[in-house]
Amino acid sequence: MRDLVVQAQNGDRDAFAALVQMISDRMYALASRILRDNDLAEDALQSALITVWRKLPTLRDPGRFEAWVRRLLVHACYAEARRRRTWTANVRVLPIEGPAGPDEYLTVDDRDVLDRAFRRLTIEQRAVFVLHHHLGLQLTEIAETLGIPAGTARSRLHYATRVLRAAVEADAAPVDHEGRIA
Amino acid sequence: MTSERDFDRLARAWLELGPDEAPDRVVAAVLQAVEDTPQVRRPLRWPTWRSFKMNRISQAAGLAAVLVVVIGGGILLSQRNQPAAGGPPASPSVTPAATGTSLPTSTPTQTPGGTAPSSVTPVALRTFPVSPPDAQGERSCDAIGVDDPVVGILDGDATLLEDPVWLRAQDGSKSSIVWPAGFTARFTPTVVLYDDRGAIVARAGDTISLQQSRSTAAGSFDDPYYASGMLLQKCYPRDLSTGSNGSNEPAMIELQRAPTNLGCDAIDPGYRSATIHIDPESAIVLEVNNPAYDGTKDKVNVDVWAEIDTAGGAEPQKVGTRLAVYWTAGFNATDGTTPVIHGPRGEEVARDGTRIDGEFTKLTGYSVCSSRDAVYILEYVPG
Repeated sequence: MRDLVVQAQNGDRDAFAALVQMISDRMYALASRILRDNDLAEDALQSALITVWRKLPTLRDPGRFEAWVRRLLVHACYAEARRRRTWTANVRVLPIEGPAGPDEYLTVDDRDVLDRAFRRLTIEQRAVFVLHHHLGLQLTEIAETLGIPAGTARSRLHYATRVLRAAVEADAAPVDHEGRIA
Repeated sequence: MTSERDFDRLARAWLELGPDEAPDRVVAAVLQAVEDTPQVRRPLRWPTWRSFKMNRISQAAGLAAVLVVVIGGGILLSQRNQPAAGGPPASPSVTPAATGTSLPTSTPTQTPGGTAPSSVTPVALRTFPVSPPDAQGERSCDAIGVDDPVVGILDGDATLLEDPVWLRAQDGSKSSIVWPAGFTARFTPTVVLYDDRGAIVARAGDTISLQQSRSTAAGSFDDPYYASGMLLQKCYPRDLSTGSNGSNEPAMIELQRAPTNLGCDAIDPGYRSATIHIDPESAIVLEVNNPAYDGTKDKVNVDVWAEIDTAGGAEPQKVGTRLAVYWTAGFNATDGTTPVIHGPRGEEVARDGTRIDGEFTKLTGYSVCSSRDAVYILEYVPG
């Protein structure tokens, strides 16, 4: 990959095309999980990759290419989320029966609860949560990726986790006959 | 109670759901776009890190050597660019050039945009190349999108040779800027920024909003912002000062949205009337509610805001205080020659200068809920 990066830095569009083929799936997966909206994720990915091409000559260490792209992508996600600053109803159809996903541990109800709670997070909190739980990055890596202090990454992850856990626990709490959470 | 391990497993399982393949059309669109997109060439800059350590003497020697090269090269270039006696003056132009610190190739000339003082030597700025005008006289843009503008106050110091002109943020921090080719500055004694045609772009103290495209720059000398957003939407050259816009295509107006389940409590907002302002090119930044309405706020460059013009109540606010304006989803803005905000039925609700006063109960029939820092325009009667 490093050779392709160096070639693309020198304006080689074929090399850049090869790089795009190598990273686009991973980057799209990341964007769609942060934004929870495939259309926005497509826009963010497209925008980020064009920015990657434009700014590639300014990348100092070709070995850091993917981390750098990830950073640009997360910022593109921020921009997309803010651009669509609307309160549209996020209605999605969830399957009533059958496996809920790759892990039987996750129920349809869990998914719905997590989906709704996740949308209440800020886009910055979402990004940290996804980088940690989806990509498995540690806080220092997240901080480096996003260009933020490690303490900020930690507090965002803490807040996001607290909100999502609270939502899951509230949903799991028994409900009395009057519909109140016990 | 969900244990930490349980929750982590749950979170990972949930995040595994979702698409893992980028749609082909997106990849194709990117590759198509880069065909016509130039790369930003890396500007001349000090190395940010070295693989070897320098002692103070070698650092000083190195700095001196670099200064000799820069200043000597500058003198040579200046001499080469001097018109021959009796010959035609150099005409200001923007041409593709190698990126890096460039000296002005011409003396700015008087234009309707302002008069360049001739008694002060232009100061070279770090610049990036700009595509020349096409047959229609339009310039291509070296930027995409108009998000995350970099907003700051123009400031400068002629004694700082390597970075004499910058933008100062609200918190006083300095943002280094790489300007379009041909831009120069003069100090009279405060900084005045000129474009390649010699027109005044801005003066010290002016607010400049660079429609930076999703910049990830740090704004440091080594990782500067590019003033590429100035070239967007055929708006170059233009007066970048707050409120001015040389564009024939006004930028899109973005409304701050209010949720449709908002209640309205009777509180004392500290004012009796306010005037709505609409300016797509505004550089006004207000703290507005986070889209999730979770109690946090974002600093946003707003296109629409209100200003208190009559204070009142038990704790009156200052006249002129700016308020955010939120609109429920049914309201839309159109950005023609005169920007207008329309209601859910398509009727005009507000334009620049529309006043909301009295008890703040209605705006063209719609409910108005006022708070100390914002006005909410609702398409329903709040509870």
